[in-house]
Amino acid sequence: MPECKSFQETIFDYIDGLLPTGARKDVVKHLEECPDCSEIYENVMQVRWQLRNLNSIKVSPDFETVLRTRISMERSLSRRGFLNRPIKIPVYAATGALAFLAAFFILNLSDKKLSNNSIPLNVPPTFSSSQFSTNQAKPGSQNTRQQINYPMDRLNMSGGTSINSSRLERQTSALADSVRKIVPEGRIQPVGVEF
Amino acid sequence: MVEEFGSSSQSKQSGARDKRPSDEDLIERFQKGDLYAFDLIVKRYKDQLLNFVYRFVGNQEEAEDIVQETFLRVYRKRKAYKRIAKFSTWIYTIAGNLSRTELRRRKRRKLFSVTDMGYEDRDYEISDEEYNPENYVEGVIQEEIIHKEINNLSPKFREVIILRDVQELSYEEISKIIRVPIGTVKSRVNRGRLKLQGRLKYLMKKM
Repeated sequence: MPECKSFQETIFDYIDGLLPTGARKDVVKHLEECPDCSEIYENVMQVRWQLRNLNSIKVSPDFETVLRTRISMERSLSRRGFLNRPIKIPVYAATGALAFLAAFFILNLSDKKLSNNSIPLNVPPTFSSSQFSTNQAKPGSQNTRQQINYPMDRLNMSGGTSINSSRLERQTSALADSVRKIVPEGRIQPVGVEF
Repeated sequence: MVEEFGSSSQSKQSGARDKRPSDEDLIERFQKGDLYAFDLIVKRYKDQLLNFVYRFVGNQEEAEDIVQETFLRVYRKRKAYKRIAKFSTWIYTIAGNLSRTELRRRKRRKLFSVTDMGYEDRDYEISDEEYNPENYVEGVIQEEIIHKEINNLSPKFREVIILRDVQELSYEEISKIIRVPIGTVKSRVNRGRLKLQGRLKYLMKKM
């Protein structure tokens, strides 16, 4: 019967004792009238009884001894030093390797920056014309000024400074003179510096 | 000072007899370092869990291994237990999860078989007064059939049927253990019961 299908839910609630008194009476009435539902009810009750009365099994006699041994082993393992823990070793190794790599890259990077931008500290900086990148004015152009990228400016993260070439020559010769005063001639020849 | 696991003193045992501490009290004591409390938990739950896991995985030896592992997890993760939940729910959840993992592992290896469960391997408790060889054999055969039919159910029906009709837990507790809504648990129990009664009809008529 199709209505029995929906009634099955109620039968199971009845079996579990979850129905209020009124609904219980309805179920009892239906079970008396419907042989299909009555059969299902009887079978489910019997299966349920069987399941509740299945023989219970017991753990083996050495169950607790084995458990104690396993726990003792675990405790002795946990008492070992933190470096002896196998799971920690790869973590520490990986952390160390990462730290080493990070330090290497940081040092390497700062070295490169220094070598790109550094000027000998004890020598006043003078430069040959090859150390400058100049944008020559096009022939025939009205603008006689040259765009010069001064290396020191790169340290200050600013763009190139535009200066007059004759002024640059004057500054260069003045610097060369001051170096000659400080450094006796023939003793030190700063690399890359022309006089 | 932390007690050694298994070291039980006479005074403690007599104290436990006078007033049985709740599971939650025991786990709380264990969390504070009292290993005797853990010993009591093991004694209280070992057979109960074994029966649940055995009906679930269908093999006593594997069931015993899973119960061992369950207690080891309780030992290791004792700090993870919070008193807001029932201890029984927590320990059944662990055992259920381990059993499901075992079933999945078996499925992967395609080794699952219900025919390897000889009743001679089992350790049934039968009281001497009730013992009658004929009844015993008949009872064992019937039980074997029921056990096989439980194992023929799909794991999702099997688990709820065992928890509800074998272990007699409430729907609410089952819902917490398997982490599905109560309505779903009820529906699974009902469908599982219908399947079982359909398969065991012939056996019930003989009785």
